[in-house]
Amino acid sequence: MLLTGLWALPMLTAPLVWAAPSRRAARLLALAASSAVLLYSIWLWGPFSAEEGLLRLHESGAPGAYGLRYHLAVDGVSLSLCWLTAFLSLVSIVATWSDERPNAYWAAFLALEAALMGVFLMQNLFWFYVFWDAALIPMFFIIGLWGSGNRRRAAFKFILYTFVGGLTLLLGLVGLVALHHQATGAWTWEIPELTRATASGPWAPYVFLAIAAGFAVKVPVFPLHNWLPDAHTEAPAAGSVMLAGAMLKMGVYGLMRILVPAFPALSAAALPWAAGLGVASILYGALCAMAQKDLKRLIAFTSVSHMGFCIVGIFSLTPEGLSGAALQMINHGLSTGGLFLLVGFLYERAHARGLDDFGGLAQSAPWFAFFFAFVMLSSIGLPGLNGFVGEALSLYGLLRASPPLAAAASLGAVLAAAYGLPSFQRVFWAPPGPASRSPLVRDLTFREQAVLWTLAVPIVGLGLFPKPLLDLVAPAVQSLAQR
Amino acid sequence: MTPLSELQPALPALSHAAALTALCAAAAVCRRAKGPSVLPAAVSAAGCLAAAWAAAAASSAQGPLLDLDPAARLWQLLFGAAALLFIAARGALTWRAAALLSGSLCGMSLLAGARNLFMLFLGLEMMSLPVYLLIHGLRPDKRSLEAALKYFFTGALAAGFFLFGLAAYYAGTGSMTIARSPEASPAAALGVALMAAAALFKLGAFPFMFWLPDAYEAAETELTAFMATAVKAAAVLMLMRVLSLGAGAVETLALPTLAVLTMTFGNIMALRQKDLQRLLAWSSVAHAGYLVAAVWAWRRLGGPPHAAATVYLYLGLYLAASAGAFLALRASGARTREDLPGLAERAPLAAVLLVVLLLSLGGVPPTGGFTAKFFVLWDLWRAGSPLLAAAVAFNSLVGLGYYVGLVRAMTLDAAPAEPRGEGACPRLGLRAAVIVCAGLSLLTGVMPGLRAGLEGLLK
Amino acid sequence: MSPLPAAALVLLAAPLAALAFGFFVTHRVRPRTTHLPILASCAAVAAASLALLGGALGGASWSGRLFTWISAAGVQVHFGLLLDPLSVSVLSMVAVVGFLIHIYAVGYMRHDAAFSRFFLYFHLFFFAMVGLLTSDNYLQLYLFWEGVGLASFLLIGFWQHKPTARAAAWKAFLTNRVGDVGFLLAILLLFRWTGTVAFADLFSNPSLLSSQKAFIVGFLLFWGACAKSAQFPLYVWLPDAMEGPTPVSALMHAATMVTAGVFLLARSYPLLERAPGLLPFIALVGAFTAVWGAVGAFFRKDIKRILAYSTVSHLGLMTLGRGGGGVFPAVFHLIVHGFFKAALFLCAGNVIHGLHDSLGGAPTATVDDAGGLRASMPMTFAAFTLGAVSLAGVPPFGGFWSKEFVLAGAFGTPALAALGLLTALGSSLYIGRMLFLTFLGRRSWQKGHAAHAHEAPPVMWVPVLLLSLGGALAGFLAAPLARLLGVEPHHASHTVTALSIASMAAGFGLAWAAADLAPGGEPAWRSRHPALLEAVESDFGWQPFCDRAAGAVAGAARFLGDIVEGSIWDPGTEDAAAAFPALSEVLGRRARGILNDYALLMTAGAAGLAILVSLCF
Repeated sequence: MLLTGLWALPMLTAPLVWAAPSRRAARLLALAASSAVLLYSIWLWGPFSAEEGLLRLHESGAPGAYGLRYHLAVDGVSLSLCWLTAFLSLVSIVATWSDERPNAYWAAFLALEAALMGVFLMQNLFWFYVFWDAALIPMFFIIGLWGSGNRRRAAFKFILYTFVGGLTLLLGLVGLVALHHQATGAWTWEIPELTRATASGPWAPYVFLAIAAGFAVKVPVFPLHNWLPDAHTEAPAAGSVMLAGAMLKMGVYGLMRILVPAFPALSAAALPWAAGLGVASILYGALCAMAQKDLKRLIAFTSVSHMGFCIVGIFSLTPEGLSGAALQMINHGLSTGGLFLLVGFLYERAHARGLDDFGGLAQSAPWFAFFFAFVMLSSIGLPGLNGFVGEALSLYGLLRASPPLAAAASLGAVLAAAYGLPSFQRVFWAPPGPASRSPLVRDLTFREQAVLWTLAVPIVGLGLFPKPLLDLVAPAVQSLAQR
Repeated sequence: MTPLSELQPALPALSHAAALTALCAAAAVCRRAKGPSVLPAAVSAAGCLAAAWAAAAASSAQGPLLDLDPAARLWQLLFGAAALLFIAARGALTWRAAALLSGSLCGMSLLAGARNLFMLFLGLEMMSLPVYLLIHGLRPDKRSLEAALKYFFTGALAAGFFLFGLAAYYAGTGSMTIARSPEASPAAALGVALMAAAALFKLGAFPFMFWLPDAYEAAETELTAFMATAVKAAAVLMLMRVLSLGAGAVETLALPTLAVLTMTFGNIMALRQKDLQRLLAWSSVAHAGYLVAAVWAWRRLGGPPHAAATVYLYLGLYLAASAGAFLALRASGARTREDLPGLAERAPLAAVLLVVLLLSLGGVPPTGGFTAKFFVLWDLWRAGSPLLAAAVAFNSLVGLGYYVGLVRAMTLDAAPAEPRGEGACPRLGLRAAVIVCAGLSLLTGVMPGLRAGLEGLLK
Repeated sequence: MSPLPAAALVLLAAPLAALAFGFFVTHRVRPRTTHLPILASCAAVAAASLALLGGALGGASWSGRLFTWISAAGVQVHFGLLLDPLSVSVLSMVAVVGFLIHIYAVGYMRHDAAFSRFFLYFHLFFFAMVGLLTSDNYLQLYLFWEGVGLASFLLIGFWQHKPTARAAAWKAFLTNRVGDVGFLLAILLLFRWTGTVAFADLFSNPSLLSSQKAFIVGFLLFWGACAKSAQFPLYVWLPDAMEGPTPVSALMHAATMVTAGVFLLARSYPLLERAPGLLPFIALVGAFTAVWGAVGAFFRKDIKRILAYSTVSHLGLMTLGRGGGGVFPAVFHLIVHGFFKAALFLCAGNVIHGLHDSLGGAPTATVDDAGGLRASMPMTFAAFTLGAVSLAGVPPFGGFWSKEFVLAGAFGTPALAALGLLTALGSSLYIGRMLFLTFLGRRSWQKGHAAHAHEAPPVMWVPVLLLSLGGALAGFLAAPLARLLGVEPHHASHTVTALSIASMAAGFGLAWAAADLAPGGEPAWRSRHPALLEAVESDFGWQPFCDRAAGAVAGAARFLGDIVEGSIWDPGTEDAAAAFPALSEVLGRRARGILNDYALLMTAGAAGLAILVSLCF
């Protein structure tokens, strides 16, 4: 019952929050539930480290026919992602703590958290996919109901685009099981068994491509990314935090958990293409970010660039690259989450998101300037903050795999400075724009600062002391690299 | 075999027949009570319950014309469930309508148990004719009359195909029993092809499905729900029985192409429909395509119980979602797409249920629709045709285009100034039916072991 | 290598404590007192570094690991401190010069509204520089390397309202990032080929890297050093960095930060030694930059930009020394240059401060605005003269000795010797011109300016005088530094000394002629060939070239961001999705509800099935 509680708790409290008598009660219940989940996930560290082996805290229902049983387990990578999800859910609930949110808003976040937990815990492909698509529905309503501007179009485009990826993934997963059956004669949907025998056969490359495309839409990788800017531009602040912070990690986690272990030979063969697309994502994302006028679209494109580092790290198939990717997932969640929070606070105050709307905020809102600079620096990979360690390890992994691609990817650092600092300067140093003079743009309230400090501490902590997290993911990464 | 045991296999049909005779007698006797009332509905429901009990309890006897093998029992229960759903949703029926309903159910029972091709035909016609009458009977307006007539004429044409097929098959093999005939002669194959055409017509597959949207749109919504589920299930049963006679070329070539054409045509036509019932009609055509694909996989794998279980599972979950969707539309009072915006504010419960049902029709986890589609995809891949699986996946994506479009219209779009569409229908039975269907859809979404259970039943 | 003494920990702990206390307490509560904890921390660091210098002179050196930073399979990096003669000597210069400039800044920035924010940024730089000098592996050095880059971004753009300051800050950080990418690749390659980046492991067994690999890593390190120490291709940011307040220009862009590149080359000398062709290449680039800087300095009018180009020139000299003569000439010149260049910049600061009211609050002044300040600013004039003669290389002063060692090393190859002498001539030329025009020329600022220039307060001219004295007397440091670095100083031959003195004297003569002390008028030779002036103004086209390159990247970004993303990709996917409803429109017209069509289609279907079966039977 240990791990089921992790996703069942938020899933069960969601309807209660929806049916709560008053908006205040709903908010408080949501806060209690998300903090309980966070504490519970941190408490899990005890039993987790007590056990040995790669996958721990196994928990499974009755063994159904054809290996369709309900089976949970967790390893270093998925535990860290559970912490990130729980942490970001709490942060996004506290950050947007205001009265006019209806009950359904809080319920949607709890449901989203439950679905994400499910994705990171499930070891059975059927259940993995159920939680994978289930996560889309709350996000659809979060963007659609409480977004801004033409949120309906963005929500519709988001859910359909992701369903394209989802259905391709479903085809791929069924194909994987069929290939496994051909190879071993046994029907099973258990990820550990599926990734033990190497699937081969005439259909293997197509299945590999289907699964890779399915996950790539979610990461997103360069050609399949353009649902992200619309979704982020229209999503509410907390929605963007969860979308960028936790949901993009589903794709990367899928690649690490299912694709690479199931097709080691094909992954190695696909290195030039996959790493090439990763580098393309890094450079394309950074260049597009430089050209954006809207702050949220800019940050959305930076996510494409950061996720490019994860792809590069994974497909280098080296232990360093893989641990870099695992670390980069957590780092990106923290820094991009922080950036979206800040832009959300700005939008709440002045209802404007354009770079040229603001200016000279450093005088009127010094704390705003400090936190925005701090998180932006972490985002562009300043050493000493968390962004750098993930990127350096991924680059190192790629260097071992293919030096020319590594050189191209390292250009991403220059482009990062090119989008990071000018945007900071235009919003905080340039002469005041139309929106910054309005009396609304006052400095961060105590609550907002508290939230941002809880983000800043791990950003510096992971930057200077990434060792504990690296050791946590080391066994999982080691087994991945050895295939 | 004692005379009573002889009648064992016919018991479900007989119970419906008894209800039919009782209703006709009552219709003749009491002139006064013209309008719909609860009593006729109750009698018809009693007939259903008796049939269901008979199907479940009877020992598996086998008569020359009818038998009660486990598959037949499942079909009886399926038809019974659809009928009860219809009666609960309608609440009150006139004597004539109740009689017609029981007549149709009697036909279905015969169809389910038929071992003889002629009995199959008899069941088919006895099921269809009352439905033609009910389309106009329940909602006597010009459009339903036109739709009923069109359905009747095309139905008669299909019956003609069936009889031609029957005759050719008899000429080819000399036997009428539904069993694998040893030697396959061209006449037999021709017969099977024509009979399959009739079954495809009843199912609403391409190119025989043009009657379906008009009939579904014009009929009373509850009847449409009944037609979309029970009649379609009967059609699938007929297709499976006919194909088990040894389909040969029909199986390898025609079925997959027809399946893909049906689902694609159905989905694409549904994208731009204004009237919601017509949209769901075209979506049921698409589902017919998925069902044909599932039946093809069942035949391709040599008719194993697990593939049959997939077809039954898909039918069951599709029944819940489709009937539920139709009834939810009736409950919420929305008639066209313009009625949907703001529905979440006007009728929150109906909106939530409709969202769940639409997502289940779209095959989105964690609803039952996904579990069904999951097993279909698996069987298609197992049957060695990933391309058909890809077609099903692609089509369900197109399907999601309009399902999520409806969900978007209902929840996200702003409510118009003045309320549109008829007011929400307060009938308790209707609401209960919708809640049951939605609950079933959600519950089955997280029960992958369902198919294994069905498979155990069929062995 | 004995374990770390307490003094070593003070080096990092004191600035961190001062920053934390300043940021969380004084900046909030009483911003006017933020400089007090910071000055205390400077004092502590200066004392600690001098104590360590004493110990190092006694032959001691310390190293120790604080904690494990990154540990992922092949990449194991520790956070540690390494205090060997090289780092302690440069650290002492940085600490002393830094302390004095901090004191100076208290006076200079007194009237600035963001007084407290300035000191926080200023001390952040100080902390990063100390960290850089004491790190014991390349990755940790890279961390402080980018930290210093960040501090220079914040300080150059300190006066946020000035658009030129914002552009200069961004240009500085971007150019540094271009260099840092090379540095990072060098680090990753080191991990790839040797598995470690710690100096101790790398330099203890040099056989780890083959000469060819050493050349690649060495070149990439030099590329990084070029950006930070403003060598030829990547120096473009330094002249613009003058937009920052003068103490910033003095401390960072003259004495300490820009020498980080030279320190990096000095630190990795075993590695560079293994690469055969690399050192002469470095020397050549250094010499070329030296001449390039001298030419640039001579033609500039703005006093801070003259000194900026002078810094580029002298960094070129250090690189030339590093390439030609080894570690000692480069480090010695680095230290001496640190003192007198800081003094010159602070004098410029005094001049700007003094003329502030009469120039209408302009943040900088040109040589023509000033003029004849000898009488009204005696202390600044004395300090400036001391600094100028030391820079020009007049015999008894510090600059002369350090330049000698550099030229001695360079005389090995004729090209380097020629460029070296040219630089010697150029240095005395531009510094002489600046001296004559600013202090000895006619008082051009009096016409029309009501106020008169006033001498800076003691808190400003005392540190300036100390620094210039330090620069002047630095010659006596040569022997102890040589002993500290454990190398025999290679004294220049008499011919070299004679040649350099001659070129220095020639320089001064030419300067006197060029300045020709006309009362504020345009010197004749300037107006004769404007094309040359315009070319020099834009560094012979190199500055516009860099701006065009940056513009090209921004253009590519706009092309991708707006056109590819905005009008091809997004609409593309939406149109693809919209194809289906359009198709359904077309098909919709088919099913119009005509019974005959239905029956016809049905019969065709059945017939098709029948034909199929009979054909394939």
